[in-house]
Amino acid sequence: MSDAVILEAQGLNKHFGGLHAVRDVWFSVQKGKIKSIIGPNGAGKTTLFNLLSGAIPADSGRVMFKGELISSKKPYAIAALGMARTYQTTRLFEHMTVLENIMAGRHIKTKAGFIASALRLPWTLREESDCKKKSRELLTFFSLGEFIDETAQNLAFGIKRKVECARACALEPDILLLDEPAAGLNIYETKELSQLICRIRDLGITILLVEHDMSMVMDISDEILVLNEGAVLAEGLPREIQKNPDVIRVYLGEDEC
Amino acid sequence: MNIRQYLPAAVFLGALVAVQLVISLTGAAFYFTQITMSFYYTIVVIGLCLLMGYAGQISLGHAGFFSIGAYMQAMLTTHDFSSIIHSSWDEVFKNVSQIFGTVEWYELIPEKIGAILGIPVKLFVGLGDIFGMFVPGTDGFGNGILSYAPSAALFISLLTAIGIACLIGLPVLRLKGHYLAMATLGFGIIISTIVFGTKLFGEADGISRVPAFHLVGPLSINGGMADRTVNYYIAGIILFIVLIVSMHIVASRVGRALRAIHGNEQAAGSLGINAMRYKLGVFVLSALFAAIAGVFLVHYNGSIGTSETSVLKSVRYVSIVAAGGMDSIWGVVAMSMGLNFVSLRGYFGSFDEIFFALILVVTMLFLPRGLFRKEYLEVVIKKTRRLTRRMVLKRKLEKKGIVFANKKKDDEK
Ligand SMILES: Nc1ncnc2c1ncn2[C@@H]1O[C@H](COP(=O)(O)OP(=O)(O)OP(=O)(O)O)[C@@H](O)[C@H]1O
Ligand SMILES: [Mg+2]
Repeated sequence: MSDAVILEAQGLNKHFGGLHAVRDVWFSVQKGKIKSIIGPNGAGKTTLFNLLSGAIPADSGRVMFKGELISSKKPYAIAALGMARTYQTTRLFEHMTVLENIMAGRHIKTKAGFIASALRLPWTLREESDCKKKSRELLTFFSLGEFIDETAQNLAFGIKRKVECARACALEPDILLLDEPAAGLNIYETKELSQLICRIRDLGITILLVEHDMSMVMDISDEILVLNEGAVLAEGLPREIQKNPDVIRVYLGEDEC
Repeated sequence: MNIRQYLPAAVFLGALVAVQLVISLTGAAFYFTQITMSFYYTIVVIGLCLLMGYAGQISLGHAGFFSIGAYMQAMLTTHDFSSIIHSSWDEVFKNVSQIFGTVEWYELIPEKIGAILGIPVKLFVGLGDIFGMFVPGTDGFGNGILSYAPSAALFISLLTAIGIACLIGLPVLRLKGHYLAMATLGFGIIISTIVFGTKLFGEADGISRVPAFHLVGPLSINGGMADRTVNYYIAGIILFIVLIVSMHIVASRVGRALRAIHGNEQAAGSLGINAMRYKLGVFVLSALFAAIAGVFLVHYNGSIGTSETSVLKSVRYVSIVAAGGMDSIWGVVAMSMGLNFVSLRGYFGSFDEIFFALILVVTMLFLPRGLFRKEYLEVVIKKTRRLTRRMVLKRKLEKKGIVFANKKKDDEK
């Protein structure tokens, strides 16, 4: 079952006014793999993520997730189906502590509503302490234990990135969409992040990664999709992409010119 | 769960008793009236604190929800429903004005539609009669009337407020920032206008002669001198319950979801939080709190006037929440009790409304996070703790004969 398709984009299109930001994009992600999306700035990677996660509606095309059509669903419903994501610029809940951020990430794993919470029914207390315990464990997994009670706005940039990633993992998703998680990190942090992503994959979470750091992408990806001006330029294994003349021309070759 | 969490609640109860004792012993019982009224207004403010401070959604229409509770309760417990109860179905169709006669704008409704509207009213009132919801009373001229019992009216009033909050909230909460402020402001104005233009609600005169609300045994909500102390406690306990419920919500999964929505609505959505549902939930809850305050206060005051529906009242609630620190329930409660009490005692005179507007402006300019913040308190505690520790250490060393030179002098050397 390792090559079962978990996520599939079928002919996605998105226009912003006259700009064709995503053009007829088809691709699929296999379960348990790390798939990366690369492409120059403005290629439409983030827009593609927004289409997949339901943040913005597509002009045409469909998204299938775990065999279900999700393109008309709201982001919260898609998340509840098991898709988590992070943002290119971190979007933590700045006034909440790290632990609270993670616990908020376990929203769909818990149930207490207005009335049960208001009455503080015994089962909500059990649920709450269970949620807290699982969140602590997750923070330990991410080596974030020392920041547990820190308010998010006081964290260093690299830590914020990690917390956002941990918060997304708190959903226990089937697939995790990471938008440039290494942006702004130094080499050591990037290296640590690579290992972390592999460890997340080992938990059984499929990963779709947008990243500019080429060595990292080549290192950890099982498969790579190259976007250019909104369209798919190439798709294949890392070593195939490295050798692909089109890719070298528009993307990797940029530096050499 | 955590005992320390309930510490402020215990302090509240202690203060409740202490204040009562002090007032009773000093013979200043006239203060009870304003404190009791402040308790009820504080309930409105707490709801708004959840909505604004935690979920980050503003409402400039909460005087509207307060008024729905108060006016519905006053109307249901003072209006004579006997003509509707005793009218036959035939009469309902033929002489609808008998039913709607007290509604001035009824004349604007075409007769046939009016007749159809009469059906649910007759049904509703008839059903209430079957369940014994009506009690006899007297109107201002000593004539016998049949009105809703306060307890039955309570349910109808609160359900009305909840229903209207759902209807308003659903479209309005899709808006953000000042669009939401304007939409809720509009709602407040509409409620105010309806009250002003409807005979059923007493038009500009409001509704008076609201009867006492008998709870259990000798406990009754009314403004009589004899029941002043009892009513102080009743209001205090109702506020206490609202406080506990709010504290529970804030410290729960729901409170976290609300703060997440406040922090970043899109990110909250990407975690599976249905923002609309939670925003609506807290909006309805805050409307319910406002209506509860209205329902009980109208029995305590025995009357309700149009000034309660005014937009300025909504602004007042918002400014109290802002000054109290938005997301600190206890700060907001302290601020509300203080300001409402001072305002009700009339210390601001004719500058009352200006004063509250001023508070809003000053808070926004200089203390955007409110006056009572935990952080401020923590800084003070930390500083005093450090100071005392240093002094204790110094004294200990001095006892051993070690004298510390002033640090400054050290540096000079
Ligand atoms: N909401 C929007 N409205 C208008 N144009 C947009 C919007 N979002 C993105 N675009 C445009 O669409 C194009 C694709 O943007 P996108 O953010 O998807 O690129 P990207 O591949 O993520 O780039 P980067 O590597 O810089 O993150 C860009 O030209 C961008 O300016
Ligand atoms: Mg991007």
